[in-house]
Amino acid sequence: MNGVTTLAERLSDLRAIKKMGIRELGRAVGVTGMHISNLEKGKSAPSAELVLKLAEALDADADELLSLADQVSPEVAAVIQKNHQTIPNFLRSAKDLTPEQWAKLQKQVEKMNKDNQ
Amino acid sequence: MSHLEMEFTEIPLADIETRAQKLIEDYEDHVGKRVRTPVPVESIAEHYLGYTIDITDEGLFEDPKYLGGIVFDEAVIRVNAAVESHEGRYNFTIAHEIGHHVLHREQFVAARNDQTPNIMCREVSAKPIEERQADQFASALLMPADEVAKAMRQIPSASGDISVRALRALAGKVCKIGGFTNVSNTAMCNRLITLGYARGLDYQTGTGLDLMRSADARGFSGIDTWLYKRLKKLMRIFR
Repeated sequence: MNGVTTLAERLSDLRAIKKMGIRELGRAVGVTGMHISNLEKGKSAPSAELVLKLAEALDADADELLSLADQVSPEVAAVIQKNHQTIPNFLRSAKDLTPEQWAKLQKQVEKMNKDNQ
Repeated sequence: MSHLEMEFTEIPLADIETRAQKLIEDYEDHVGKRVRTPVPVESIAEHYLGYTIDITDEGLFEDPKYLGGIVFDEAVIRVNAAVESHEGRYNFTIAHEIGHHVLHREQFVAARNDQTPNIMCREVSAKPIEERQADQFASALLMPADEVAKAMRQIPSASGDISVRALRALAGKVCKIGGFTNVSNTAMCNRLITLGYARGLDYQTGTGLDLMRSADARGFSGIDTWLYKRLKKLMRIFR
């Protein structure tokens, strides 16, 4: 990411890489060019739905953009809502896990998913 | 801004044409392919010259008479949100600001002092010399003379003395045949006048005044023609 830290900078960076016009991106995600300008200036905060559309239009990692936008993917939000007691408890107990342990956990979940199929 | 305490020098039209053409050629080298119409002025500004385009309705641009502006220090071209959906005006505004970059940036930056505004603006009506030059540059950039000539060759016996109505029809044809999809009919009318394809007419403003001036020149009462046009339009609405 070359030190880019805000959603505004990242969007502008991604648009430059794709060589997309400001109105072209706006049209692709269903908003005006002025809205895109405001996002690139950090003057407005996009909804999770808009971030997902932006990620698709810019061939970008949706999770990265959602994180920069302080947003949770609607898909993830639905999982949390469905398990509204288990997931918060699980996340609280897992808050001190190392990245390696998270990776192990991820593999374990993938294995469980495979077993379920 | 048009009220700059700065005197810009005359630049011959031929030089402005050459510099617009040179910019297209430099951009072609940059992207490695030939540029065809519509000339991608947004891309030239952002992806070649390194400007950010900012579409805004804030500050100065709350006033729709300010169509655009260029801030050299910040490498930003501001475009009034009011023109965003007008393909011709939007692109002409960007091309006009590119004109300031090519023709005036050096002088502006060198001569600036604490009192100088940091933005050069395109207004609807005010036309000091630097604004006229930027308009001429924008026309040459968006409607290269050779591309217009190519389109004109496909329209037999099109040039010469002409009425406003015929000029507008001709401009529409040239836009269609030449692929000038990002310029307005008025801009093409003026380009055809500049390039000598239409004689006997003033530059067009895109208002009813053009029609009145044209009618006057032909011995009709301009105001009668104007009223007749408005009446016809009203009849169409109420029909």
